[in-house]
Amino acid sequence: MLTQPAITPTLILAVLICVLPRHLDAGPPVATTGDRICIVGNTFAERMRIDGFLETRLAVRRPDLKLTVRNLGWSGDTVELRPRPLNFGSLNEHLARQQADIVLCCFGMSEAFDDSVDITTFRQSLLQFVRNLQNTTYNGQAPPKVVFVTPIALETVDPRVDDVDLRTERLQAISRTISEVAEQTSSTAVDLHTLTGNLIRENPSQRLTDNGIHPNEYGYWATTAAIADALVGPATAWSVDVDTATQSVETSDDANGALLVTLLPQSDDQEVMRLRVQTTQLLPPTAPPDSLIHPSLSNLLPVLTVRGLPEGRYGLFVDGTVVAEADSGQWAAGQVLSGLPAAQRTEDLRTVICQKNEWFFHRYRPANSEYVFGRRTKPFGSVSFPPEMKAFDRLVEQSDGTIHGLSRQKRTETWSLERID
Amino acid sequence: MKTSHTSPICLLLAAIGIGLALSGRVVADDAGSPDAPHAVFVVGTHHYEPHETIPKFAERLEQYGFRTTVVLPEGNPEHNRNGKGLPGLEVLADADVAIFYMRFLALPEEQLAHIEKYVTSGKPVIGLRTSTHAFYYPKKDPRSKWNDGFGRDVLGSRYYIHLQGQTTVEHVPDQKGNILLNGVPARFIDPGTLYKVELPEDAVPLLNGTGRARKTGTITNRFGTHQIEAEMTWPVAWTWTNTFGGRTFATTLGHRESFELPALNRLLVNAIHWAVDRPVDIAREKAAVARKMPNLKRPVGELDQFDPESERQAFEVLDGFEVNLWAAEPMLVNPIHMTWDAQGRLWVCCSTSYPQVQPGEQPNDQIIVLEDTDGDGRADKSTVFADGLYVPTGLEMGDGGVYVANAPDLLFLKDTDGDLKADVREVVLTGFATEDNHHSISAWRWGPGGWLYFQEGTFMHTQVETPHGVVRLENGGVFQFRPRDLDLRVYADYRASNPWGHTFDRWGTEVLIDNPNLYFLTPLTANSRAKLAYQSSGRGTKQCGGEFVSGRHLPDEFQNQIWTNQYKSNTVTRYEITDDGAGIGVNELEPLIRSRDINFRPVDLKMGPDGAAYVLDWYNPLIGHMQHSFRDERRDTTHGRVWRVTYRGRPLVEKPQLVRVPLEQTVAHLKDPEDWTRHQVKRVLSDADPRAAADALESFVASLDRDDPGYAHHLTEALWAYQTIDVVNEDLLRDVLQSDHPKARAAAVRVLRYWWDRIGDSASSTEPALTLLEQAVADEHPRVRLEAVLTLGFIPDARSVALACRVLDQPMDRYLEHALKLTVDGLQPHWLPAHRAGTLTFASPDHRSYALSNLLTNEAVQVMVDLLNAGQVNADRLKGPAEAVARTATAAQLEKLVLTMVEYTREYNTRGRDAADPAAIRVVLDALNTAARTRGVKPTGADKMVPRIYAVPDVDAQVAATRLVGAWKIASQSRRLQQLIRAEETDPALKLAAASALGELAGRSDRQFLARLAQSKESGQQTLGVVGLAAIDLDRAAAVAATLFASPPDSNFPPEQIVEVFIQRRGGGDALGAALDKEEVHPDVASQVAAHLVRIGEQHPALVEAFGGGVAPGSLEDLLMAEDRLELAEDVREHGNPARGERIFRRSELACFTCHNISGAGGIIGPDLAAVGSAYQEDYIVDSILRPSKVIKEFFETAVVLTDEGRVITGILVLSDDDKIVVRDPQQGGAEVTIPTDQIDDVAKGPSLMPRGLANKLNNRQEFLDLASFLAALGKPGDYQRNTAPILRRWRVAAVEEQATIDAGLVDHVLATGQPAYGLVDGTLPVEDLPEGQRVIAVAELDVSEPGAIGLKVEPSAVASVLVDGHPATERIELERGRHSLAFVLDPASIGEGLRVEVTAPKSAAATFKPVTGP
Repeated sequence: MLTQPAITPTLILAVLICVLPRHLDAGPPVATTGDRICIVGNTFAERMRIDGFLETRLAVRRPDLKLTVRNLGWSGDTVELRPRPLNFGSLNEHLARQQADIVLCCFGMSEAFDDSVDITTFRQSLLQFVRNLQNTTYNGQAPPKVVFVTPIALETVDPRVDDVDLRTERLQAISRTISEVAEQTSSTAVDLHTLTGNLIRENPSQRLTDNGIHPNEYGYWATTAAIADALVGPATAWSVDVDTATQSVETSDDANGALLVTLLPQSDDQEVMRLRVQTTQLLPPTAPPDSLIHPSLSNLLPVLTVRGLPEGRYGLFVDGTVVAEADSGQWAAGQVLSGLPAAQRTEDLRTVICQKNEWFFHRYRPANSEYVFGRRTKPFGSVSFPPEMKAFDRLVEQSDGTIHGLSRQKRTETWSLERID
Repeated sequence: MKTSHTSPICLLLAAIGIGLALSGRVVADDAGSPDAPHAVFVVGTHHYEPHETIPKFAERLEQYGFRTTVVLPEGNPEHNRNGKGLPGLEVLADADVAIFYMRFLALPEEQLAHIEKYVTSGKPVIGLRTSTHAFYYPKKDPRSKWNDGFGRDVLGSRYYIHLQGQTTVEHVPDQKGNILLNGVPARFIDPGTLYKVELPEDAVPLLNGTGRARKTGTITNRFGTHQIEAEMTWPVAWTWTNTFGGRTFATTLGHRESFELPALNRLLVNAIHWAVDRPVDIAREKAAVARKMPNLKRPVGELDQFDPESERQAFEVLDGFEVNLWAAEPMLVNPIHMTWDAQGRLWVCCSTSYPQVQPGEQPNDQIIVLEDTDGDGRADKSTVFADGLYVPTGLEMGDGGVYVANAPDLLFLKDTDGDLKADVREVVLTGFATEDNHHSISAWRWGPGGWLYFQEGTFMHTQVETPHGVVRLENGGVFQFRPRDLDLRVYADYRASNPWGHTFDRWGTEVLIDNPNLYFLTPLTANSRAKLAYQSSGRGTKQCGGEFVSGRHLPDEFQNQIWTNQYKSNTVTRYEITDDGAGIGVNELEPLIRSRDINFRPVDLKMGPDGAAYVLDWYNPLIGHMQHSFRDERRDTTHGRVWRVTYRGRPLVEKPQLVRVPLEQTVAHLKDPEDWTRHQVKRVLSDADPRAAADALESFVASLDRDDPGYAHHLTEALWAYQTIDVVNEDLLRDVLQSDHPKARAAAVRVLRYWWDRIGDSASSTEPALTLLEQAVADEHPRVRLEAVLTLGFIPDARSVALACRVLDQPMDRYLEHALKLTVDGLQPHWLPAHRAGTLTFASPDHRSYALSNLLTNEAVQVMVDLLNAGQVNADRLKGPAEAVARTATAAQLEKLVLTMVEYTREYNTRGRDAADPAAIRVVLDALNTAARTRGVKPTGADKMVPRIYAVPDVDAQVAATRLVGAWKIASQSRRLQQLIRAEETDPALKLAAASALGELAGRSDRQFLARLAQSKESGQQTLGVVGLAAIDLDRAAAVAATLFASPPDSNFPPEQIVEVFIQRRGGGDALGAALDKEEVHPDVASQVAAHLVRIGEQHPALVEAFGGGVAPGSLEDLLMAEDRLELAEDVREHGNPARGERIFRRSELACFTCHNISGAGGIIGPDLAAVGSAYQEDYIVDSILRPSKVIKEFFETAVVLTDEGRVITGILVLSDDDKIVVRDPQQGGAEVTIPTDQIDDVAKGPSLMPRGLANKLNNRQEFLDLASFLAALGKPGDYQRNTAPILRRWRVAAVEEQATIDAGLVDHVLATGQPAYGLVDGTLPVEDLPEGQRVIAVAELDVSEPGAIGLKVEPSAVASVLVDGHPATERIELERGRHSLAFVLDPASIGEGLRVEVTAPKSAAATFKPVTGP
């Protein structure tokens, strides 16, 4: 399952390129304590079930909020067309069953490929779609908060994408429309289209999609950070900056208090630096192995900078285990720490999240639905499935508890830098 | 501390035990009987709450015929905190198996003694979870030896430490197929923590658990020091023979929540069976439990032997063949589908999670690779290539890996480091439907040109986003997919049901096995998504997988047959495929394998690298999840087999070396006669470097010898190979298009479908392709013309349709018709604008009218207008456009037509038929009528037309006009209608129409007129009154009808016509039923109407009751209904006589053949019964006769459709989609009726069309048993098995005068008017079904699709004479294409039991033929 080798080569794009323009409104986070987030939309939404990055980010950044996430996405869905099995139930029914507080809407990619949908119609359907959400109470108290995600940009390097110019143009128009509708309806939009367009353009060696239109694992790793920004606010930046000459340490998170780093006296001659690292947050999820990470995303990774080291090669030991090796110059430039032992705890959390997603999938969209609620429920399905579906509900809810438990872990580690040449 | 076995608690506990045992007796046959094994549960802790979970489990165990006693503690017994220990343990002395769930006990001496005595006696022991640390005596106490000893010596491991969080549990890989794991999910999440375990070497671990530790490193507790890593794996369940010789099963599972999941319960039930040496397999005990579950309806047979050899011995194999076991569990279990790779390894999808994931389960279905590494004809190596799948329904090799159906995802799995285990897993596409996993994308296969095909069944909604757009498919069809560019297309959108097989022959002829049909797929692949009705080329019973067989290992006569699997009847069957015009004919042949073993479930068949056939066996008593509960305990997850079928005495094919040799060498094998090899060559080329592959192909083509008899085929293979690697070779394409072999030309035209925009000088020009297709569409061979029409559909050019229509210049057949209609439709956006602009020229006006008449738009009106204006008009030519007009024309368009009709009929008075043909008038008027009644479209100007029609002296035309008067509500015609009714000479049919129309006009004078009619004393007048009033006042009409029915029937106006008027109106049946409640019905009326109701399948209870068709109290039916159906089924099995039953089935008063047929002979409204017994058990058949609506067979569901006009249409549901409902209407002999959605008010699921009260037509209960036993025997091995030989079964018989001349005229007369008769199952036409007389003629018919000779095997040979098409048969019977009659003149006295005629194919120049079936 989700395991990582101890030391994963994680590369940050070496060339310094222009800083990403952030089109995100830096408004306050959307989510509040106990919110249930329901993801709706197309293949982009549905495939979030596979690697669980979004929910992992939410849990890691704000364990205190105890958010829960249900993915109601369905491949190929559009704002207007969402075919379902017989008796499946409407979107409103499912949002009500899930008591949605936040609806995260991912539409537009399918529409961009269907030339019979014109942009005006799309705008009208989308408005109608939002108005319906904003006029319905699913959680028993208030209508949901609506967050849009614009479709990602085409990765035109993929030779399998047809009519690149037309598609690009339509995707832009659709993304613009989504942002405008969000503005018009006082909801939030996450502009993945611009973000991914920049990532693709500035970092062509790192593929963002599988097939030109759907994010690959790196793509989800990268894009979910922006969605999480809108939902719960930005991540704690795990950067620790030590100056051995002045014996001073700085962290990027001084205000937040999630990361507390203090310098300890060296224990022996080998050691050139000793730190106590106290955290109340898990590390953000590690990027997929061998990915070439765009610099604008480097704040999603833990970075240790040690300046003032004498020439030489140094290893970083965490609780006695080596996790990174570099030359003094490299340490001074900052090293991404992808092999921290604590990363495993985030991976454990992600495993549970993915497990929950799988169980929820079997519940929300069970195989053999014709027998679960369709025209063939009798005589067998009507006996077997009601209790089994309840059991799945129970498993999913228990998993929520496990996720909240796993994401609230304090940890103290000792980091030491030793000369190894 | 002191306890006594006489304490009140002990009595209470004993009482619980007895109580459980008593309740067990109710549910299981031998529970509670002294012979039943006694399971004693010892619950010695409250930790994990076994005092709650174990008694519940014990109750469950009793269903399997165990006696159980649960020894429960009062209070917490750990460390003897309750002061009483565990009283009641003396019951262990009587235990056949003890199940311990204990923790840290410090039992008093005598209590411990009971346990000591039990375990040291070597009796079977089962231990759960904390029982590894069952005791905690102080260190110095000698009994402290049990502290570690109970775990170590009795169970196999003591306690060490446990981890944190949940545990992932998986089968130990080499224990796959261990029956103890039957029904235990292959991987599941156990909510409990993982215990560290250390097992003795001779223990057998069954399940491994993996857990995570929060604290890692070296950890010391009071049980020792442990090295703990973040992730640890230890056994969680195992078997062992313990140190006292006792059979032991132990598990560290047993958390309270574990008992809520199915896994632990199944595991324990299995283990306890095993411990007391009861069969763990799908044996009688489990069958008994399954059968008594409330949700189970259909018992299946039972077996005692489950080993491969027993299964093999139950095979009946076709002469010349033999079967050997190639692979069996544990190498593979629950196999679904398979494919070969170029190295000759067999890749199999296996699913133990089928039919549905259970709560807590993590589906862990696998792809297994099987290899015969030493070439001894048996697989010897099995590798798990991939796992973690969820009901993978198909796979194919490609791009160095394997593509897998894992709905909703399509995955690509690949091994990159050579260990034959997938290390790359990509989700290639998402969004394949999951509504019913037996309809999920399945039967995967590469086609000859490098597209991958897979099918989806009905009910499904698929939406897949691809970089070329979203692909959607509803209710099934065929996909084609080219992974290299992620090009997914709907290849055939048609009325799919269960498409579980798709195969190509050496020329690319493709057959889709969509149960129970075998379709010639090609016409359905047109570039249109319209779903037109399409007849299959053959039918079997449900079939799965299979393919065209070929190769040198098989004798010639078997080449190019389709071998496929009738898994329901445990049969591998064969079909002969012949040419039939542009399409194919299909004949079922004697099966390859028939098995008596009900677990033999062939689901796939593929030819192997050695030229033998390999049969994949989902060895299982149960097959589907529609027929049996999802959680039926008999579902087996521990068996699976592959059988190899070889021809005795013929050498196998030498396995070709296709990989790790130069490509030239591989490509040379494109000449091999084995389809397997040529297919694999193309797979190797596809994965190779395209340039190298193209080079190899170029040398291959250059090396071919034009005089080689296989030249045309070699060239075709090369062309496909180029298509596969996606390199356009235009010269080769042009060469093959000119080949002298028609099927090579057809294949090349197909390749042109995909290459048209890449040939010639200018890219994307349609010119070069159109030039080539102009020639192909005029080809002398219909198959080439068919492909040309289809390919034209893909060329986006207005001229394509004009070229396609040129196919009309040569003979058409239904395949060409279908393809042309779809092509005309699909090309619409390209040619219709050109046609409107007047820039499109057709080769002839007929072509143009064909195209226009097959439009879904309204150009058809113009066609009709043109035809009518031209004067002389052929009514048949009007029919096509008229259909489109009726379906789609607007009121404005219809007005044009009406005005034309005014002109058309103007001169009738003076010029008569020369001016206007009444038949043409009827066609036009019917279309107008349909448009009005089905869509409410009414043109203006009608009042001018109608009077002109009444001037035409043709009753039918006038009836049509009258119906229009009603539909259009032309009030000005009211007077004429009244006059028509008054006039004595008016035809009764016209009077009825007029009365009905008056009812629709419903003006004041009309109401009064009808009311007066109704009050008339004359029954004819009254009838007309009723017919009219029904539209105005149902109750009043019903009251009058009721008085009419009290008198004898009127021959001019039969009572059933009156009843019809009511049945077809909303509330009509109720109104008439209520009125009849008060009136006596004349017996003649009653019997006439009752027969009519049966005929049309009307089931309205009040009507059935009123006309005497209900279930009378005390009648035979009533008595049978009151019996227990399972017992009745048992009596059918034991006392029914199928031979007598067959005679009863044939009695004319039962009218079985009116709706049903056996092997095609008989009615087509109900299902073919030839194999009903192999698919259904006796209780189902009993229900089918007594309670037909309860058990409607799939595809025979009925719909009751209520239209917006209040009409009611009942029939068998053929199709239901967004636009329409199509039903097969029994009132019209099974014709299909289409009702557009916008006219439908309501659709209800209808009852079975099978009439009630059948049993009352039997003389006694024994006759019922006989009839049911006959049906149950149909299709089972024995006297009533399906015989697929071409026997004449459908007859027309008549007695003829001694002196009459028997000629073609007489034969035709007998065919038209003779009495229907049908052969027995064995094929004999029994003598008692022949009419009285000394000279009787029996006529049957034969359809010939390819001309040639036939032979006749006539028994007895004493038949006086045989006539073919009315002429005495010659020595050698040569038949042209078409339908032929075969007449036999005989003296019934001289033919013994009866006449049996089988049509045979002579050795040379045989015709392709099929006996005509049907009612």
